[in-house]
Amino acid sequence: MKVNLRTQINDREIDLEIEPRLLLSDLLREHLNFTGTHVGCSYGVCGACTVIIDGKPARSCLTLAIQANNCSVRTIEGVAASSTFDRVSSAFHQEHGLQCGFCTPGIICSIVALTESGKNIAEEDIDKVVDGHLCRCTGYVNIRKAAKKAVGIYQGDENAR
Amino acid sequence: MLGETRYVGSSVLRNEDQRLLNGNGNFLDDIKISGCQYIHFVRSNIAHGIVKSIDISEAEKVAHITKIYTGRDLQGMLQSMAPSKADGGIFEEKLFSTMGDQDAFIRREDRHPIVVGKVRHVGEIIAVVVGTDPYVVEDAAELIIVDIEEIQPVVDPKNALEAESPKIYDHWEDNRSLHLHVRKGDIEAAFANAHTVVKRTFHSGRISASPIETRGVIAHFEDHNEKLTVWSSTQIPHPVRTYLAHSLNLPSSRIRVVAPDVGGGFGCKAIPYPEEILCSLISIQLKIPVRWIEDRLEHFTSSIHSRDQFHDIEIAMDAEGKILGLRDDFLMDCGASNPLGVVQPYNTIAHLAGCYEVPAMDVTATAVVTNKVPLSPYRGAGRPEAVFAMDRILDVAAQELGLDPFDVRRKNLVPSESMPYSVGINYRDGAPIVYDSGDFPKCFDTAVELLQSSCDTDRRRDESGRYIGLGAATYVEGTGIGPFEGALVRVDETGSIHVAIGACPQGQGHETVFAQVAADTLSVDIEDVKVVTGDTDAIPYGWGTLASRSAVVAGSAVYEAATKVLQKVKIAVADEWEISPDDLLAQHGRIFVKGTPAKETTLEEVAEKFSPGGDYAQKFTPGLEEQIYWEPPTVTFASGVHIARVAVDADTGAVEILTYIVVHDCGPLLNPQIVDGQIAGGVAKGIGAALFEEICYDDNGQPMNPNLMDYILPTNDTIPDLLIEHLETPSPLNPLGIKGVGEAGTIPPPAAIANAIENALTEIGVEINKVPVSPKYLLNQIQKTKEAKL
Ligand code: FES
Ligand code: FES
Repeated sequence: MKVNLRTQINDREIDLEIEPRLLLSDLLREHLNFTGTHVGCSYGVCGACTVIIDGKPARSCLTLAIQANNCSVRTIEGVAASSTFDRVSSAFHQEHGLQCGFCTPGIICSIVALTESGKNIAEEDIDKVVDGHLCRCTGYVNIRKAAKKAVGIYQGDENAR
Repeated sequence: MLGETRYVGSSVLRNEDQRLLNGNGNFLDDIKISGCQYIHFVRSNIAHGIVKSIDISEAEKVAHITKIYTGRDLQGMLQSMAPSKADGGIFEEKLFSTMGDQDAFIRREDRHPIVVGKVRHVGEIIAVVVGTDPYVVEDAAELIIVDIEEIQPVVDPKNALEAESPKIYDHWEDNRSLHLHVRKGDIEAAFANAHTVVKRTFHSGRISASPIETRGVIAHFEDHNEKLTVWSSTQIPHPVRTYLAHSLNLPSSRIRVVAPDVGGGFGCKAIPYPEEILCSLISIQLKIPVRWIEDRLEHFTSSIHSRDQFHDIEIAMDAEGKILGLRDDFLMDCGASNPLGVVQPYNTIAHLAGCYEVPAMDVTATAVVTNKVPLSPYRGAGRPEAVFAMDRILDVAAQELGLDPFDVRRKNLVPSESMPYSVGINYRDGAPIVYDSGDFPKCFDTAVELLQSSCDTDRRRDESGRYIGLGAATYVEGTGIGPFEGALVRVDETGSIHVAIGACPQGQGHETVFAQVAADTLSVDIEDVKVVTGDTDAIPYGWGTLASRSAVVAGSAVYEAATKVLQKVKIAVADEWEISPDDLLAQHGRIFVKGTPAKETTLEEVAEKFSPGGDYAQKFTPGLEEQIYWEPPTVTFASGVHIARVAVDADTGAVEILTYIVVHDCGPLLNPQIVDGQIAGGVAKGIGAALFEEICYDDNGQPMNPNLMDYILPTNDTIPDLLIEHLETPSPLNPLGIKGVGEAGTIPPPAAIANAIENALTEIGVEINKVPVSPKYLLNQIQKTKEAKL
């Protein structure tokens, strides 16, 4: 049995017959080649697969593709075309907020969603977002700095070499 | 040494970032090859037993299934995975030649990549399903019926040594896989003359590397040119190629192994794995590309685990708190096999004395096989276990003597005037251990100053009643081990610099750091340098990125190769201009006569003349390129001190790290920001090992927490900001004076944090004998202590 999926993914109108059990993460990666969405656990813990669905960050590994019916989905590839992205990504670049980069697109999506939410962002908000992602490389220190810099609540370390 | 530098020593932002940030990274699972089929491995859910039958009849009928293989089908087509020189065996021979026969014993098994007969741990591969749909291969796998006759599993490593224990390998006499004995000085006299002797047991729990990207393999055998290309999420493409060549009986020139962007490794991707061999074999058999991506459960049950050492350690002290002697007898539970042999246990032995002067020591290591996932080095590789035993016993001894543990540490540090310092035992490459550089007392004092300036060290309770405590640990680390690393540096006819290295990164920033080294050596703009890694077709020989070695070994190779390229340039230009090469200067891609900058040429022009057929090519050797395989004389020692300040809630067992201080000496920093990033990542792993991470098995050999809900990785809220300082004493052992840094951060946190917890709870009198110090463990210890006092 197949079901019909109509959705918008990164400005692309999608109209596809899919299996009901197909995960959104697999739809993105295997069928649409949006491989920037990474899968680290496939059960909702690591956050590497985070995308933005209707403005909110969501685990694409815990979402069936069909649940995205009539939604608007943005993956890192779509996010990378936005103006918010430049600020966020350059903060990560400058603060060395990534090493292997596998967890990075998910974190960027979460931060971008927070930034675009229009709310007044405090340090705790950033911490909460980063708390929801696993990174095995950076020890989080520089991710925190980068994320805070991206939203303008941290200027960078003046004493840095 | 480098002269004036523009890049080395500064925090050049990373070349690799952009693609990783915008989703264009090229990780293993991102590589799409048309016609590629999916592989799913059926794995044992029994720890110990004999496979009686495998029924694939129902599974075979499923649509989209191409083929199902069992061990019997593949047995004849494969050589087993014999341990070879590709995995450190090269040093084992040298080391053993320096040890007495009774002191060095190792027994290893050639692993078959797929079970034939006996199953030895939950997670071993029993069958392989190949099909065109990733969901359906899993459906089909569920229809395969495997009948295993169970044998009593061996789970507790201590029981494994008992005469009546079942044996993992039937033809072995017992379950011992390794025995090492190392000593120096007069140990009997040391203990006989001691004022105080203390003895304790310390256990470093079994942990999983858990990179966020799991392993994965794509194998593509192309019939038309008989070439096998294997993409693997590995740290060691060249050794993997060697393994494949042996196992598949193929010339290694017909095999290309590529490590694309790798999402973290930390040691668990630093051995060749059965899946690499099986995927390759199946691609050759079926003449199609195939792909396997490890899922998280497989990661816990088939990627190596690490640590898992039980130390019985005993220290002899004089009345002032000077160390007289040290005995340690430790047991390592190496699971079903020990793929890297002596690496982890011998590292523990070699690093046990650490920064301290230990006049006499006697250390015995025993490893046993059990029905668990094989053990192999993970970031730290035997050193965190050593530091946990040594720096814990020092704190216990200090308490016994009524002395301050910081003072006792300070008193026993190797004085700076004793550098270079001979420890009196050998390293695992067989060379005598000599601390070539460093200033341990200065490191220690710097850490204490940082502590004092950052917090109130006298505070013992916080507002909510939590206990506050301080703990320190020190470490040395042999870094930059051989046998070699390769670099190829070429100036192409457009003047752009191509650097290929055998080292293969997983986030360490090789494309940036080695571009810095090449750019400064050649005096060109860094934008003109492109570094290629992780491809066996890019450079014929390589070793890989592991063991805190790449900056030292690959860095030296890049430096030497670039230096030779520049020499070649100068010799050719000087010859044409009829001057001495010494009169030439290279700057920003221009070559000119010192003092007469008007007479100049460019690297681009020189490279063009070196192209085959060009003027220089005719007279000298064609091609403006040099390839160097740099072999270090032995390791170079990095060192450091960590101090942790923690708050402990004695009612819940929760521990919070309030302050964490790192003073580290890895010589001159090539890229300070990257070095600090390596330290921060390492410390986070050390904190994980200290407080959260442990793989637990039940009595049946079943892993009890093989998932990220129950195996707890450190999260953002558990890792504090760090206070980091560097000492930069140069190493005399390589041209850049550098020492490795990749693992350092991971080494001392278990000891420093456990010491701090114990110190916090002095009032109650709790002792910490194992990591992780989980809330459950801590509450138990508190309870036990309170009961003992009643
Ligand atoms: S892959 Fe979705 S949360 Fe880990
Ligand atoms: S940068 Fe490697 S997992 Fe976060």
